[in-house]
Amino acid sequence: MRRTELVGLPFPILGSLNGVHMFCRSHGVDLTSTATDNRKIVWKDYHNSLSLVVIGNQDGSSDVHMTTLLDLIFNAMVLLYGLEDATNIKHVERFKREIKVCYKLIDRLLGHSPSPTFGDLSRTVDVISAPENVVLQSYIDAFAEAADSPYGCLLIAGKVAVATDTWWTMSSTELVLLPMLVLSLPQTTSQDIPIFLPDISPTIERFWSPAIESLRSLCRLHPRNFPLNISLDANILGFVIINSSSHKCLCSVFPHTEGASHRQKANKLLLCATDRHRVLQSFYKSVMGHVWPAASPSHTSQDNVRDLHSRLTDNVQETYICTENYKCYVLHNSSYYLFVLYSTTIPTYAMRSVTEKTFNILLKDKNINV
Amino acid sequence: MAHIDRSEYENSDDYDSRQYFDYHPGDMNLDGSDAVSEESDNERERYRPCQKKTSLHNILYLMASSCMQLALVTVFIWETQLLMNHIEIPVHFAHPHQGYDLDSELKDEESLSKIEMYRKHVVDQSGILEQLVTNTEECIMTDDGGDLYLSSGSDTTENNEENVDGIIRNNCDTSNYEPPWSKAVGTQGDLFYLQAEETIQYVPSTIADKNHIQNGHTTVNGSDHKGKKSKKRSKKKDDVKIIDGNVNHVNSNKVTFNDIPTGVTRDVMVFVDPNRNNFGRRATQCESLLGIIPGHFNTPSQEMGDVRYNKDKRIMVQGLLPGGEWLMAVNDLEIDFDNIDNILSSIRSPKQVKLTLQKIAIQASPKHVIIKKSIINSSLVRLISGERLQEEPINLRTMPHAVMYLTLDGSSDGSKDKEDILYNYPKVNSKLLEVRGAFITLSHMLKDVTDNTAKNSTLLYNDQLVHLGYKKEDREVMILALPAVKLSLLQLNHLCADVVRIIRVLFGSLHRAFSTEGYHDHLDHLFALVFQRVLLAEEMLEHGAKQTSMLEPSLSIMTGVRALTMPEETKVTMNNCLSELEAQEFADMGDDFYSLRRSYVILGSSLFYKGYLLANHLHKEDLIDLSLYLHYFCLLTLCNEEQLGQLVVWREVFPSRYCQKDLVDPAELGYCEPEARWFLMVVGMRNAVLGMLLEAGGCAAWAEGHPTPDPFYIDQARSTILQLEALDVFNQCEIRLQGPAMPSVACADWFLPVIKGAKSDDAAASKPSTVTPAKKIVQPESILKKKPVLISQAESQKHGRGTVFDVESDIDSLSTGTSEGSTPVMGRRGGRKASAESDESGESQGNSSLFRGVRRRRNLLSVFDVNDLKRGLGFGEFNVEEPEAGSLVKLTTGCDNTLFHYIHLDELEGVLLCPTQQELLRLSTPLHRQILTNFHNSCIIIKNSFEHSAKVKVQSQEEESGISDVVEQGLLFHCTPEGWTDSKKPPPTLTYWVVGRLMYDPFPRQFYVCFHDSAQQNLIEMAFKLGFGVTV
Repeated sequence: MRRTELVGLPFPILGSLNGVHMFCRSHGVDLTSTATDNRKIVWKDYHNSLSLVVIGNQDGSSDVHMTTLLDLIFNAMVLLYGLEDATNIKHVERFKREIKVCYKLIDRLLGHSPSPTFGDLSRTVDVISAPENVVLQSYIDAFAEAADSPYGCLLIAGKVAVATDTWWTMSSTELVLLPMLVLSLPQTTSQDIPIFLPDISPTIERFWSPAIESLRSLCRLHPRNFPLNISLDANILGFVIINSSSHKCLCSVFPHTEGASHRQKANKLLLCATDRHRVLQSFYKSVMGHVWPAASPSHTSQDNVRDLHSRLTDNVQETYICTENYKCYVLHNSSYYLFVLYSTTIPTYAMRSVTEKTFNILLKDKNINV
Repeated sequence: MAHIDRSEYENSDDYDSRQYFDYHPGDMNLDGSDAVSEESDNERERYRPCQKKTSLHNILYLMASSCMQLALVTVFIWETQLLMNHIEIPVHFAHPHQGYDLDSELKDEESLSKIEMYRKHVVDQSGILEQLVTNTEECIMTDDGGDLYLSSGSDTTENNEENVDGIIRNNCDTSNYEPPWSKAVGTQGDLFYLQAEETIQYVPSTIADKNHIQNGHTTVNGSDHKGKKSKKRSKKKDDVKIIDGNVNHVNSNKVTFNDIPTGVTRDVMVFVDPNRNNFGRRATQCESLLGIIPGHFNTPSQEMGDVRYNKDKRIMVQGLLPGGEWLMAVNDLEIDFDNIDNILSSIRSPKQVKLTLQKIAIQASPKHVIIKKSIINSSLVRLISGERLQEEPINLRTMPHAVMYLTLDGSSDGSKDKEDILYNYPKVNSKLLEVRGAFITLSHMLKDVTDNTAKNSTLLYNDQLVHLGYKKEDREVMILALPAVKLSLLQLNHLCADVVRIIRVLFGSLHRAFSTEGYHDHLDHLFALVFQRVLLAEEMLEHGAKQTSMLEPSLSIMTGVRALTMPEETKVTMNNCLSELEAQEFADMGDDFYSLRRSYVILGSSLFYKGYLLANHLHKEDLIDLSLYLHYFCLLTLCNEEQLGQLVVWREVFPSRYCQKDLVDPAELGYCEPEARWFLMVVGMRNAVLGMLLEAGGCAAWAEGHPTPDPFYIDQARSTILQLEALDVFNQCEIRLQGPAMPSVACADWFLPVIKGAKSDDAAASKPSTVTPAKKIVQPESILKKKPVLISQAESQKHGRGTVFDVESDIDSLSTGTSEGSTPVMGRRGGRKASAESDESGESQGNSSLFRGVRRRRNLLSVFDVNDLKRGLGFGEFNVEEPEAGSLVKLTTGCDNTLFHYIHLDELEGVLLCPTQQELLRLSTPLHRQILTNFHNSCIIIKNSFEHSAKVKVQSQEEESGISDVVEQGLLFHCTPEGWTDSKKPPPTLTYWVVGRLMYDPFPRQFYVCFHDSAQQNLIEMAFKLGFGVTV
C-alpha cells in the first residue's frame, strides 16, 4: 500500500517486495519488517490471502505502530468490502478495481488530513468534551431510538461528542474506523451531520432543531476539544489523554483561550498546530512500544520480545523528553496516559508537578468523560 | 648520553654489576657508564641488544670487543621460557648476517664465540622476582631433543663497523632466541598468543628481597613448595594453550629444588678458554669461565641470605636460567660452592668441558612471596584462545544465529550450489541460509526504494523472532542474525557496526576478509566469540566469568572504552612510562647511530588494567579500534578475570582513522598522514594489557612482506608493564578498585524501610561502613513523619532542602545553636526550627529499625559535610574514615546520596566512566540488581531516542520522522522488592529515575544516571561534578 498521491513504485519493485516475503514464507520464515536508515517496510499477511506491505519513515519507534496501521487498513477493507470478498479473491483484476472504494479511507489512515485526530494511532476514539454533552446525550439517545438503531453518535470533525451506550460496546477497531470513514466521505465536516444523518432518518429536523444552539456551541469548541472553563498551565502547548480501557482519547493542541493563544503566536518558539500534533504523535510512537506496551489487538508474545518495554522489570510511571524546541512529558496512571507538550520555557523539574496537576484537573472535571 | 641512572633501585652497599633492580631491560646497564669505565675489561658490559639508551661507551666497547678473540661459553637452555614464564625477558642473539644457520656453524669450532651473559636480577619493589637473562652474543646453538649444544660462531674476525651494524639490525629483526610465542606466528606474520598462568600473588616485601642480594649471589629460597609440586604440575597441563594449533607447550613455571633427583639432568658440552675473558675482579671463576652466575639455594633459616652459613652448597645456575637449574658436575666431577673454584681453576687452556645440569621442578618463590591459591580458569582461556571453536555448544543450536557473506554475482536462484555464499558461520545448513536469496534481494533492492541500503530485518521462524543486520559493500553483503530475546535491534546494530569495523581494521575490507580463504579461521574465531558472548552469557558465567558484558547491556551500545579514574599522581606516572616507551629513545635504535631507520614509529599506546583503560596515548579512533579488538576477542574480560601468563598479539591492521573514508580526519593544511602500514601490537601480563599502534613508513622504515612480530618492541612493551608494576601503578589500581566508589554510589536497599531486620542485613554489610551503630541519629522530619520512601515531589521540594543534616553522632549532646553557628552547612541546610523539630522527631520515634533503614543511606556524606562538621563540632573521634581527597564525592544534590548508577561517555576521547565491577559487586543485592537491569535497558531506550533524533536532524525537515534534537530523556520507575511476604501491608515502593542527557559543550558527552526520587537532580551539574570532582 502506498499513499495514492505519491508517485507509484515501479512494478518490479512491488514485485520484489512481495516476492521476498513470499519466498521466505515458502520456507517457513515470516519476514515481518526491514528497515534502512530512513525508511521502514512492514509486511503482514491476512487470512493467507492478502499481504499488505507498508513503507514508512524510520523514526526509531517500534514496528508495532506500523502493524497497527496495517491492521486498520485491512479492517477498513473489510468494513467497506466485506471479509468474505476481501479474503477470497477470485478475480484479481476485479478486486483491484473494486477495492478502490476503500482508497479514501485508507488515505486518511495513512494520515494527511486538515484536522488530524489521534485515535488511529492509539486505537482509541477521539472525543470532544463540552458542557453541552449532557444535554445532547438525551438527544442522541432519542434520535437513535427513532432511527431504530441502537448505535448512534454525534461527531464533531471526526470526534465523538456523544454516543449511545451501545455505540461504546463496539470494538476499538470499529470505534476508530467509523469516525474515520465519516471524515473520509466527501463534503463532511461537523456541519454535515444533518446531511449525513438523513440517509438514515429523514425526520432529522424534529430531533435536532431544539438542540441547535447546543450543537453550535459544541462546534465552536472544535478544535479545542475541551471545555473553555478549564485553564491549563501557560507552558502547555498541547496534550492528549488516552484511556486504554474505555478506548477514548481527548487531544487538544489549542489548550488556551483565544487571547492567550494570540499572545502565544507572537512567540516564535511555539510550534504551529500541525507541528504540535505531529510532535505529540511522534512522542506517542517513541514511547509506546518502547516504554509501555502499545495497544494492539493483534499483539503477540513475539511483539513483546521485539519491543524494548518487555525488558523492563519495574513499572515505568512517567517519562519525558527534552529537545531543543519543546519538551514532552507523559504520565501513566492505571489505564490513563497523559501526554503533554510543553514549550521550552518550562523548567524540566517543574514538568512533573504541572503534568500531575493537569491530570487531576482533566480527570476531575465533570464535563470531561474520557 | 641518554642513560638514566636508576640508582634508586640499587642496593648501594652490595651493589654489583651483575645484580640489578630493574624492570627495564633497556635500562639494564644502569651502572653502565660507571661499570664500563671502571672495569674497562668487563666484557659482559658489552653490547646488549635489549638495551635502551645504551651508552656510547658500551657501543665502543662492543665494537672493540667484537674484534677480540674471545672464547666464552654459554649454555642456552630452551626451558628458560618455561620458568617464570611471565617475567622472562626474551633476548636476541645477534649474529651478523645469519640467523639460524646452525648446522654449518656447529662444526666450525675454530671461530670464536662471544658471549653476552644472561643476567638475572631480582626486583624487589613490588615483589617480583625477576630473572633477567642476559644475552649471548653470537652464540650458536641448536635444539636437539631438548638438549642444547653450542658451538662457536664464525666470521667474527672480520668484524668491522658494518658488521656491528648488522648485529644491531639482526637483534631487532631476527632472533636466535625464540620467544615462547614464536611458533604461533602465522603466515601473514600475525600472532595471537595467549597463555594462562597460575595466579601468583606477589605480596610486596621490601625488606626481604633486598637482603637477598648478597655479594653477587642471589639466594633463592628453595624449600617451601616441595609438597605442592606434583599437584601443580598436573594442574598446569590444561593451562597453556596456543592458538593456531601450531604449538602446544605445556609449560611449567614452578619447579622445586630438592635433593631427590627427579629433575631432568642434562649434559652440556661447552668450549671454554680461560685466557680469553675477564669479567673483572669481582667475577667468580664460574662466571668468567662458564658464563654462569652461581646462586645459592637458600633454606628457610637462611632467608636473610648470609651466604657464608649457607649449608646448601649446590650451585644454582642463576645467571642463565632463572632459578631453574643447578650445576651438578663439571667433567663429571661433582661440584659445589666449596670446590667449584678449585675445579674451574684447573682449566687452564681452551678446551671442551662437560657440564651436568639438573633441572628440577621448582619453586622460585621466596618465603615472603605469598602464593595465592587460585583455580585456573582454563576453559575460559580455551574459549577465548579459540580452541573450542570446533565444539559448538549444544544449547547454541536451538538459537537461531548466523553470519553470512553473500555476493550478488553468484547464482542467486540455485540454492543448492552455494556459489553466492562467500562465507558463513556456523558451518551448518540453517533456515536462515536457505532464505538468503531474500536478503540479497532486499539489500540490493531497497537502494532503489529508499535511497538507502537495508540495515535491519526482523523475521519470525520456529516461533522465534530473529533480528538481522545488513552491511553492504559493493555487490556483496554481510548478514548477521541473532535472536531478538537476546539482543534488541539497537544492540544488534551496534554489534553489527562493531563487527564490521573490527573486520575492516583487521583485514582492510569486508571483501578482502571474507573472500580470502586463509582468513576464514580468524573470522570463525571472531564470530564464535561473538555468538558465545552474546548468546551464552550464562555459560560464560559458568566458565567462571564473573561478569560478562551482557549483564551490562547498555555498555555495548556506547562507543567508548571503560576507564578507571586514578589519582593525578598515578596518572602522571603512567603517562610518563607510556611516553618514554613511545619516544623510542633507545640509543642503539636511533637513526643517528647506525644511519638505519627504526622499524616502526609508535603512534601511541594505551594501557589497560583488569579491563579498564588506565591511560591512553592513542587517537580516539585508534583507541576504539584497539578496544573493540580487545573486547571482541574477550581479552579485556580475560585480563579482568584471570591473570594472563602471557599475551602477545601482533598483526597488520588497517586503522579506521586512515583507511575508512568517513573517519579520516579532514585534511589540515600543510600536513597529510604518511603513506604507511600499521601494526597492532598487544602485550599482556597478568592483569595488565598494553596496546600499541605501530607505523611502518612515514619516518620509519617501510615494511616489506609480512613482518613477523618484532621481539624488540614486544620486549619494550613487556618491560614497560614491569616498570609500571615496579612503580606501584597496578597496586594503586587495586587500591582504587577495592576502595570506596568514586563517586560514591548508593545501594537501593538503603532506601527501603527495614523489613524485619533480617533481609537487609547483607545490604548493610555490603556498604562501606562508616558509622557506629550505637550512636543516636538525628532524623529529618520528612523522612520520619511521612512514609519513609514516598516523598512526593512537593514534599521533597518543601522539606528536602530544609531538613537538618543528619549525622551519625551524638549531635544532640551539643547545643543546636552552637553547631548551627559554627558550621556553614547548618546555615545552608536548615534553620533552628528545623533542627528542633528533627530532634523531637528523633526522640519521639522509637522505631530503631526505621532509623537503621534510613541511616544507611545517610552514610555517604559529601566531603564538605564531613570536613565542615569535624571542624565545626570539634570532633576528634568522628567516626567517618578520613576521606582521602575525593573519595566520598557525591554527585547528587540533597543530603542523601541518591545515586544508584551512572554512565558517562566522553565522545571526544571515547572514554566511558561508570562504576567498576568491583563497586557493583559490593552493592549486589537482588533489588539493586533489578534496578540496574532497568537502568541498562532504559539506557537502550534513551540511546535509541538520541540516535534517531540525530538522524532526523540530518534528514530533511519536511518529513515527519520522529522527534529531533532530543537532549534529555527520563524515565520514572516504581519498584517493589521481590518476594514481599507481609500480606497486611502493601509492599514499600521505591521510586527512581533513569535519565539520559546529551551535552555538546565544551565537547560532546552523554550522561546516564539512575537516582532515587527524593531530590531533584540537575544532570548538567552532575556531569560537571563527575568531570571535575572525581579525580581531585
